[in-house]
Amino acid sequence: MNPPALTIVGPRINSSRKIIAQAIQEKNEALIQHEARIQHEAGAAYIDVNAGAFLEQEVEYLPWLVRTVQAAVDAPLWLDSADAEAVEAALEVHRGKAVINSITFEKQRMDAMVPLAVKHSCGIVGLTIDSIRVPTEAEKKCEIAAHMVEALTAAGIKKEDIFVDPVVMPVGVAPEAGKETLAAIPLIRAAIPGIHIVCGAGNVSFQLPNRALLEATYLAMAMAAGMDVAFLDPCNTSIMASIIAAEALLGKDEFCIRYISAYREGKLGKK
Amino acid sequence: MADLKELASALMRGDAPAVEKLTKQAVDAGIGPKEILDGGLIAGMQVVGERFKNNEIYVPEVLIAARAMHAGMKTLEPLLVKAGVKPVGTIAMGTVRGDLHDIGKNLVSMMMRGNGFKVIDLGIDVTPQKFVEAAKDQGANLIGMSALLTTTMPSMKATIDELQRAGLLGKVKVLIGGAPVTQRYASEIGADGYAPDAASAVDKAKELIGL
Ligand code: B12
Repeated sequence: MNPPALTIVGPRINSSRKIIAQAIQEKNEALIQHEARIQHEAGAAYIDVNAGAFLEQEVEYLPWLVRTVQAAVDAPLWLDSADAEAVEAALEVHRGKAVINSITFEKQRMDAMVPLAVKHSCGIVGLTIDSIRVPTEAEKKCEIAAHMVEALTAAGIKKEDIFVDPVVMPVGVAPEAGKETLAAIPLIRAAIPGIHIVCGAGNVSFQLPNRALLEATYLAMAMAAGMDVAFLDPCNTSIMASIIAAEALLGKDEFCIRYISAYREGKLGKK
Repeated sequence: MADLKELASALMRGDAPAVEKLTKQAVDAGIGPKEILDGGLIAGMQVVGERFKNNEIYVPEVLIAARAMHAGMKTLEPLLVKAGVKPVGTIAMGTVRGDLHDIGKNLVSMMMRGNGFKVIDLGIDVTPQKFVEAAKDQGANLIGMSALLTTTMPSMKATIDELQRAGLLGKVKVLIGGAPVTQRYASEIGADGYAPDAASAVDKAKELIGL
């Protein structure tokens, strides 16, 4: 089967999950490598690694995760950390082109991370958050994105290495926020050609029942709006089924062949 | 008294127009504002808080209850002021320095208001100095700090140190919360109280000021 047109970043190796935190602490390579392999096989182009639960040891654990994961799968990683030292240590051992996940449009965080991205010519994720607030409105998100991309390209980062994240918020607590992020995507596309737009919809369903349904539906809508990279668990079959369906509906699956083969393979639910 | 029960249940359903109407009816029937507040609005909000604590309802259901409470308070607030009814306490609530998460803090603020507290909302990214000023100049007898990041939890300690320097520690009670915060951490940094959710936050606040 052809790979999906949507670029998927696998989020499972995150230290906020108890089993991952434990595996990191015990240096359980087998478990981490298994988590990496299943995501890669299920269609993740990138694997995200996070050791943020360990404030003190992150600088030691993050490079360990990089080495461990890349010993098992041949994929570039997203280095999920707010700590520049940990990111630097991870970049030192990373093979291929990593992506720094993430910065906000705040001087302090830009000053710490941007030189690392330039030095290692890797990718970087920028959230549409500035030092003043976390805007909900689409226009404001786009404005921050434009300023941030300007600063990043001025520093020497290529546009195709920039991933703008317009920040998905939980609709259960901020009912207007869902549609604003969706509205921000085409605005950002039009204002800043050549960059990537990434969303993670795991949070959209926070505090609501049947979370996978909301996540899958939101991702499909974000794809229609122009998102090209998604932070999602490719091992979640119901979410993946929606992604495959959305690609067929959006004309990104020639003759719907991928949709049909996914059906034959039983990936779209019961035949 | 029947209509106060109905008022409470309208609030629990989050039916703002009904709450507004029933509040006005109760006022017209000559029931005192304090009695309407306690027996109607707060009574309803307490049930909402309890159900939320027990995971029986979802956050959006708390939000519409708070909106309904607001609809009733529009009528009641001026009457309470006129009658000289004092809030049960005044709490300065804020998300600590470096932290922008405010959903949990807002829920706690709502529950506090829903239980008769006056809330001074300091917003997000609140410096220790701003908390101290709220206690000094705005008459808060409680400070509520929220942190959602392990990296911003130390700001709570910084605020407590600042209160100490201002000679306010002990006089103003400090309540902390947020997903990564624990009772153990609260004890460690010398906060007066910790609560895991918005309904318990109210109970704890009342306990701290001796209610
Ligand atoms: C929504 C959200 C955001 C939104 C915030 C929007 C907003 N206006 O608040 C956005 C997208 C902006 C955001 C940004 C970030 N976030 Co965030 N976010 C969340 C998320 C999904 C939900 C938080 C929430 O609102 N919960 C709902 C409320 C109701 O719950 P609560 O806050 O815990 O509050 C309850 C109790 O704790 C208590 N309580 C709360 N405050 C208080 C105060 C007192 C006094 C008391 C008594 C009780 C109390 O009562 C509340 C109601 O019952 C969490 C995930 C999670 N599982 O928590 C991550 C999470 C908190 N975020 C996280 C991170 C890392 C970030 C970022 C750093 C991302 C980045 N890479 O840049 C930025 C940081 C921005 C900043 N400087 O603050 C991590 C934190 C990891 C850690 N251990 O430190 C989490 C846990 C996600 C994860 N698993 O990695 N985030």
